[in-house]
Amino acid sequence: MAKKILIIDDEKDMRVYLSTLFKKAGYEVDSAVNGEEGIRQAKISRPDLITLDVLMPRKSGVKAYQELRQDATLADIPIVILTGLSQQEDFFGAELGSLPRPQAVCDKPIDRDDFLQKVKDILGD
Amino acid sequence: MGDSKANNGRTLIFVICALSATATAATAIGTLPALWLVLCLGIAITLAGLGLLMPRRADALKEKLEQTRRNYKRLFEAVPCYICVLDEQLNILEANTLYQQDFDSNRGTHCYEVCKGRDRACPDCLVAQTFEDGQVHSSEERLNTRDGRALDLVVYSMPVLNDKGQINAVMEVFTDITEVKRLQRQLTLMGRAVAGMAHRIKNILMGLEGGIFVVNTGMESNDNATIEEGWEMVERNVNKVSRLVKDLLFCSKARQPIFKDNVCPQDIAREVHSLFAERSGGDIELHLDLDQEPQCGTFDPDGLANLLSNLMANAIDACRFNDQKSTHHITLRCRQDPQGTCVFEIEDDGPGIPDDVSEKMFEDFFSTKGTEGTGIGLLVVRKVANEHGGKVSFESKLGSGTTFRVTLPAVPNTSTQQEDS
Repeated sequence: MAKKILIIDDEKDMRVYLSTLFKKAGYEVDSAVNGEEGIRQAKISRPDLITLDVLMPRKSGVKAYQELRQDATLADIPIVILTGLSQQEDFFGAELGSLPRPQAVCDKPIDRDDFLQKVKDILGD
Repeated sequence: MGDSKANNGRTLIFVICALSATATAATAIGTLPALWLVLCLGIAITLAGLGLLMPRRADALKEKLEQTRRNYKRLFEAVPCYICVLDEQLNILEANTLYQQDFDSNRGTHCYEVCKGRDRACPDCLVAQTFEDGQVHSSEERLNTRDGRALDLVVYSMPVLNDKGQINAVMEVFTDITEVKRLQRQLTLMGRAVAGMAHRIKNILMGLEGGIFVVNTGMESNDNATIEEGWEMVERNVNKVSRLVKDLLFCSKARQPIFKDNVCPQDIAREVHSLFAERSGGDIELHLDLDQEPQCGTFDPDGLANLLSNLMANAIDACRFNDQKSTHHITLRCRQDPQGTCVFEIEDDGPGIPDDVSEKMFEDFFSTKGTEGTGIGLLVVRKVANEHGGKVSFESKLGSGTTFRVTLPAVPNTSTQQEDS
């Protein structure tokens, strides 16, 4: 059975792009337009990996990340952060506290092949 | 210096000549009483000669002293810096004209009263430090002149010593570096803006690249829906580029406003409102509030559309990223008085603007949106308003929202246009 990836991003272009990329690579894809919807969706579909945007309305990526990591049923799902912020530290700031760090942090714009390879590595494919 | 040496030389020559003449006369006469007589006469003539020379020399020295004093005074006044001399209690003993012109001496006799309107000495007072250790100290200060100009200054304090080498006063010299600071700030902001812009363009390129990838994927599998989705992405990102370029052009000095007669500001407000109403999501409601009686005037319609679009886009962004509320309202208002003065208002009930942001809001290329923002939006707003002889202001309350107000006279008054820097 194909592994499932959940894309949480408020930018439609990003959702369409990543979803086409993952589907073409043989994955199943779900998507959500903000952090709130993303957490709801994650609880329903139990994805194998989540890609999470940082700057989003209705629950930012940082808040969504904190909730995903603190929810015992979702805490094990690997998370790839996609950020347009110039410094990765902007995401890892004090707000993350002692929570485990994400599996990967990728800069936007993405390098398509590198990004896909990173996702495959995390999923063990 | 040269005059003094010449006078001394002349005096010496005179004394030598008088004594030589006396000695010669005494030798020629040859007798002892005559010798004594001639010698006394010679001494008398010498003393009389010296007595004649001394007052002249004293006058010359006095004049020289005055001249030096005048030169120093001239220098004191001519230096393009604020200079004051202070005693240990920080009383101003002397100040140059520039200092007296720009700082209000009616406020008191102390430097902290005159320069800063304070009632006690400043913490880390440079003058006190110089009185204490006799060293030169410096710092950067921001002071307000009596006519309300804020100046960035480099301040030096240095000891003024008496003949015994003791400090009997301290001189403060203030050099105006406001323009340097402004350019420095502008360069920093511009650097940040260029970096931000490069990132924004990269993001748009990724959107285009993504769109092409989606179109190709759709074509490979003959999937029309995917092709259509990809093509929409391409179109959206082409629009983003075109918007960015348009904003940049609006900011540039080269772009001249095109004023047209019989332009109705209400029509422009209506157009911008409908444009954003199509785009904004369901969580943000856009309202349009117009006068009953529209009035036409002379405006730059493209400029006004751009101005309103930027303010609307900012209001939408403020509401979109507000975690405190799930629904928001934005009202675009247009009011005109009988004289034709037009007031646009864009009111949102978003998070409001913190004080530290509002201070920098109209600085060139300032943005709160990280790499998503270019800082161009408010520059465009300010430029277009200036071109119309109008002004931009805003009111904001944290947690309640922000209202931007643009007031424009009906006929552009070019004499009040500010040069766009």
